[in-house]
Amino acid sequence: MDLIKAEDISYSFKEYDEEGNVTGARTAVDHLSITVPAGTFLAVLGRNGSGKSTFAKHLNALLIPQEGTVYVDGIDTSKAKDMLLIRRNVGMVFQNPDNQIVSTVIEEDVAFGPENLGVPHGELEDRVYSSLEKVGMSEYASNSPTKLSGGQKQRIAIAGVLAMKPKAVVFDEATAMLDPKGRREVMAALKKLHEEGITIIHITHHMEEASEAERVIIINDGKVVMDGTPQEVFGNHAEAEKYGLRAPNAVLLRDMLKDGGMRLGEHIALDEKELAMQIASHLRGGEDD
Amino acid sequence: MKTIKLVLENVSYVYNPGTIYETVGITDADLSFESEKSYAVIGHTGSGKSTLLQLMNGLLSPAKGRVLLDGEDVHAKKYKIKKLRSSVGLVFQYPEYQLFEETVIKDVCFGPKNLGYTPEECLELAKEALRLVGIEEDKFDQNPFNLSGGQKRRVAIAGVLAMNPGILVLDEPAAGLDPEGKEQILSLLKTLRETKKMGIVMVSHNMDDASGADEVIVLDKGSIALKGSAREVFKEYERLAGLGLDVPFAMRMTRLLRSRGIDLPDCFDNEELSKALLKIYKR
Repeated sequence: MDLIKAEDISYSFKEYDEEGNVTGARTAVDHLSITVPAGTFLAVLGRNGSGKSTFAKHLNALLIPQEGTVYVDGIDTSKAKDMLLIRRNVGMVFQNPDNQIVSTVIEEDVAFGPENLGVPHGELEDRVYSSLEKVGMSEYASNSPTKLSGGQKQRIAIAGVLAMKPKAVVFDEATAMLDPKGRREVMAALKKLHEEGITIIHITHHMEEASEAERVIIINDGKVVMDGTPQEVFGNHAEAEKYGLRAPNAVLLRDMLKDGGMRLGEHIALDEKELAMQIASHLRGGEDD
Repeated sequence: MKTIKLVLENVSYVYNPGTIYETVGITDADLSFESEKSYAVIGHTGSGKSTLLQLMNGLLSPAKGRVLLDGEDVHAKKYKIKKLRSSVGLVFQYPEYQLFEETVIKDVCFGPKNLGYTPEECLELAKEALRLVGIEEDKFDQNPFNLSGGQKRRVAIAGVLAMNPGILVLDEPAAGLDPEGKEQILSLLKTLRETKKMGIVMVSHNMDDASGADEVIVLDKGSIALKGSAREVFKEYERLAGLGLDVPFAMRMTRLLRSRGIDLPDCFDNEELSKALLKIYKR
């Protein structure tokens, strides 16, 4: 079942001069089509200004395509009466941890979304606590969010989304402002949601994060230009580099070894553990895999 | 470009001293920064990195210890703090959010204007700075808000470069940029050091980026936990892991391969590692 289906969608932003007159338009999403089956972990890559975020904002009706149609769980996002249902189904976590917290107490912040959906009190409490539990922040429930680290704040934002029981969560560069520890925390929470069957759309500039996804797409000039498993996309990194991307370090090292004459077999290891295993067994036994 | 030396002598800083909100910013820091050299400052959130940067150009004054620019105490009564501000340029995190003027060129002129340069001099300095960061002349009169993210960031850096600092301090200059934009910023910093003899101090969360610096400074809870060449510092794998930090990719790989019985020397980057591995392979 396709949870998200974008059919030939386009969106452009108007450009204005200093007096506020429209001087032109910049196309951000250009006849883009994609389907995302329920339960997928999809990574979206592309250079700054490629249209990734504009595309993402279409997934929960923050933007409505100017051309084409987006369906979320079978519902056309341009039908205004279903907006609330769409927003409930697709949650969003944004880049800046400080811009997403609205309350002075963490549990109230997490309750903000479901409360607005009219969830009755008893259930509300259950949802808040089980969401905080899932992101590992239960012990902070009655604290103020001001003293949290960036990674912890992002996990609160994720809990706030979870409390609305979404079918999909879009992470729009949600790890970009975090330190390595915060990034690991958010990635762990993200993977946990995926294991529970929630569809994940993760926009990132970190190739190592993207290589953990099931499917990777590259957006360039508002179009999907590459689409495949991380192995397929990064295995062809000469192509990916055209769109301003770089392969993960493991792939680069593998290439250097290959150029030097070492034959490591067909499988492309994306992370260091896998690659170390491949190299070690190759050097010891001389076998190909 | 002027060659300068900035010394932090036993510097400490405490936030909200004497209140229940008292928190340590920096404790007993002894550090020295010079033109032409590059430094990477690493440490997790809250380790004191930003406090350190603000002490370096006088935005904060130490509770204890001295900050010396070419031997002069910058917090002495008669010292003109502008001298420090123009010598040690500070680029904050996400500096593009601080662009405010109507045109690119006006924005970059703002710094030198405040240092008392004539309008003609300001224009010269601004043009030179924009040329350095690779912003073409046709963009000078554009509204900075119409530029791409990477371009905006380079304009913001040009705003600091236009003051001709001897040392440039940047808080995570590559955060949020795509790989291409990141490479451009890192190669710009390299050019500034090589051709302009500028000292570069960079806060980074990326160990592979930090490994390119001459000296790596590791902060933890406001104290200097480790300091030395990148090779020395990143050898301390266990110590860094304990601080929630990492080492560059090639060094992690080297460790993993050793644990699998491959006899490798210390390898610092992919090039060294692939050479060492190929040597074993061909044996």
